Amino acid sequence: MRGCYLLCSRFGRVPSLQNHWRLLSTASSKTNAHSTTPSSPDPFALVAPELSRIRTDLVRLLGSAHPGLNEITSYYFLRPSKQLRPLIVLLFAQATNGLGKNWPFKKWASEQPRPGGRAENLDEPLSRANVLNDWNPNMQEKTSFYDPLHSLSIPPTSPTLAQPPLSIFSSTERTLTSPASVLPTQMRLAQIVEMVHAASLLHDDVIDESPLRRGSLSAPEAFGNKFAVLGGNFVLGRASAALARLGDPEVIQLIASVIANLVEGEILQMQDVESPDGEAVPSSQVAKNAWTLYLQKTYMKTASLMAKGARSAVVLGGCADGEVYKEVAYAYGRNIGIAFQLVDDVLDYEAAEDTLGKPGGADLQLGLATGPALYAWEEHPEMGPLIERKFGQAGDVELARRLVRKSAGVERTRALAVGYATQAREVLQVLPESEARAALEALTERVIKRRS
Amino acid sequence: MRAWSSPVRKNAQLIRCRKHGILAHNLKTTVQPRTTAVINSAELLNTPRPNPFVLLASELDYLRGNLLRLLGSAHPTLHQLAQHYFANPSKQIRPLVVLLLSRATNGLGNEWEQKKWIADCERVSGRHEELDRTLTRPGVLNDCNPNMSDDSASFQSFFSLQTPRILLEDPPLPSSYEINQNPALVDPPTILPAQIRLAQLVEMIHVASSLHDQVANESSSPSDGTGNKLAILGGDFLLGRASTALSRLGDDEVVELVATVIANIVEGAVWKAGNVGTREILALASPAQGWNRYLNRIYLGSASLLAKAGRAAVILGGSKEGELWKEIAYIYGLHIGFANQVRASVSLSSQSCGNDLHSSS
Repeated sequence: MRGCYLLCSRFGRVPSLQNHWRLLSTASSKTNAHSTTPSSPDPFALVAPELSRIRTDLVRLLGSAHPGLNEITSYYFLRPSKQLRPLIVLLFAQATNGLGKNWPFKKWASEQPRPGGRAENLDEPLSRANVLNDWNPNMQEKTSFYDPLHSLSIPPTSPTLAQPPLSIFSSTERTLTSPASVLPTQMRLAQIVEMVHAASLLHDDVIDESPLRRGSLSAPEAFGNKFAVLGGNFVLGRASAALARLGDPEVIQLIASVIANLVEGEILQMQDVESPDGEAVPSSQVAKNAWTLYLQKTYMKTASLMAKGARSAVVLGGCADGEVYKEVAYAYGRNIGIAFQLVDDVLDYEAAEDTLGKPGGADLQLGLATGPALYAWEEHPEMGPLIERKFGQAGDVELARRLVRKSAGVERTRALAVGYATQAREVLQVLPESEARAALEALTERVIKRRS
Repeated sequence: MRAWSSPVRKNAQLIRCRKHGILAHNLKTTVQPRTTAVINSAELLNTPRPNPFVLLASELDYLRGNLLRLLGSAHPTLHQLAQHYFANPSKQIRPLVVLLLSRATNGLGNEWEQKKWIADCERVSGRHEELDRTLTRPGVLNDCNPNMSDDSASFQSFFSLQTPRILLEDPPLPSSYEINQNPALVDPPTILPAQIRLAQLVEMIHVASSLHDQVANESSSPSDGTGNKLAILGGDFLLGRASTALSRLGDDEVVELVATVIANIVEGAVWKAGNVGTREILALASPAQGWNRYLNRIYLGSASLLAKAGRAAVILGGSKEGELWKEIAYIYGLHIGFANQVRASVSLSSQSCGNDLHSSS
């Protein structure tokens, strides 16, 4: 936290901010990243066994006959990852399973041998193997190769699904399960969410021409641009097939919409700040537009997956329409996702390459005006033209960085992130107390304090 | 291509298509066609057949216009893609197959009545696909979520807990609609909105994969960067919209089918490239193996989409497990896909060999 003390000393003219900042930094210097005091549990520790299985199981789903393709699609999963998104899914499952009206049905279904039932049946294809032809060496009994002699024949009728006993619907107890539980479908959802995230990283690294990711060569550096893109598509395809096998239309729609959100956020980012419609607008309106665009883009690219992933977890646990639990999940995911990205944008200005694992100062190089730059613009109008031309002229990047450092841009962005994180913590209060809820609360603090 | 135009007969026959060597159409003796009409092969070949492109001209125009509008509105940069698509019009074979199979089978499936009911309810309630909605503009967030309010102006402050909504449900299906009592082709021929949606998203997936296919692997020139970016974003945009539309068709089986197509297309491209990354594929040991790999590649890269899209179209029309209709659709799509791709390869290689041989288009 050395950097923040240096910055604070320059801000005699913003005393309240300075105090606020000092409070934050003192607080974080007392607790280190891995402390597990009762008041702030390590959120990752609570579901460590489940988290450790996420990636090994997920990579199983990506197997194909082509060894090179396997190498590309598993590439990002071989390196350590925060797994923040699966974490949120698992914690929300534990924090809400038992509360929803349809929980008894979901519990019963998880013990049935149907697609979307027991763990071992989540890989059961909905169409026959010789129709799908998605051969996977890790699932040889369930998948097949294309057979040139494929012929017309009457298919067998599928067995009728078992009906739940009526007693399930008369249960009125609405309490958290004890011990805390995670359904097989929710585990699978955590994997799907991580797969969607990885697919977007594969594409982003090509678009951003990033040489590094997580401390190693990025996929496009290792395999080439085209194959990184194709690898991302493959991961997306397999994730979507797994999604279909969960058997929940609402969840399918939620996650599919995230796939659209991710790219539309990327396109939003390309939009001109000045006047997207080509009309002249007053400068205050322009700044407002710039902020709205920035937050919308942040929602689409980052928060959407967390929000809808969390919501989906709760839906899979039996939360019915009209029940508040899935709204809690969505509001939490959305606020913490935005907070997370705001901190990411701050770190891009602050940290050096070795802590981040990817190049620092990348946003300016890419022409992106993030929180710190937008705040700096409020204090230094000369930032405006720089933002408008996306820091494209020689010297723009350095000047912009100087202006941001001169301004309170970084601190104000941090404060904004804290605001979002606090909001995330607030909405959790609707849920009954539990270890999982405490972990979700602790997560909101972690997201703010992280250095990478 | 006589083999696959042969009709379904009551007595099984092994029909091996000599010209094309490998593909065979094998009918088992237990096949009992639902229709009782006896089809005479000679009669079938002599009957004048409608031009499929003319038969479905208005639907195809609608689909083309939709796609152009979507690409054009997305972003000024992506607008270039719309222009390219306009200047190089696609034959739209894939949507055509989807639409034709829908017309050819709607009314036959066990759950046709249910599907028709759902389509009518949606039309009456005015719930339309947001697929066509143009991209977000500042202040208006186009984020279509099930059961959630559209939150256009909610970035002014931190996001607060929303009141849960209960969606209005469709009126319950009348019990007489549960099973199709008199399966027969619908007259006049009908295509459900869901099937049109499917045709649209199938074309989007095709265009998206063509775009991604154009991405340069190595950036050898500075212009590769922008060219690549456009191709990637354009393809991703289409894939994203296609995924959303797919999820709203309301059928898990169809979602799974199309999802495997997306993965198959990548496999086809990778097999075509040969060795990728550091792991090597095994060298071919025999001509037979070479054939297998070739056919597998065509399946993955081309035929899979047509086969599964055809199958999906018939499923959306209410064909259930145990019925023959979607199997027929699958095999039809499969063979059309192979024919299309092999013809294209022949055309390409005859050009490069400088032969006079022209395949008829």
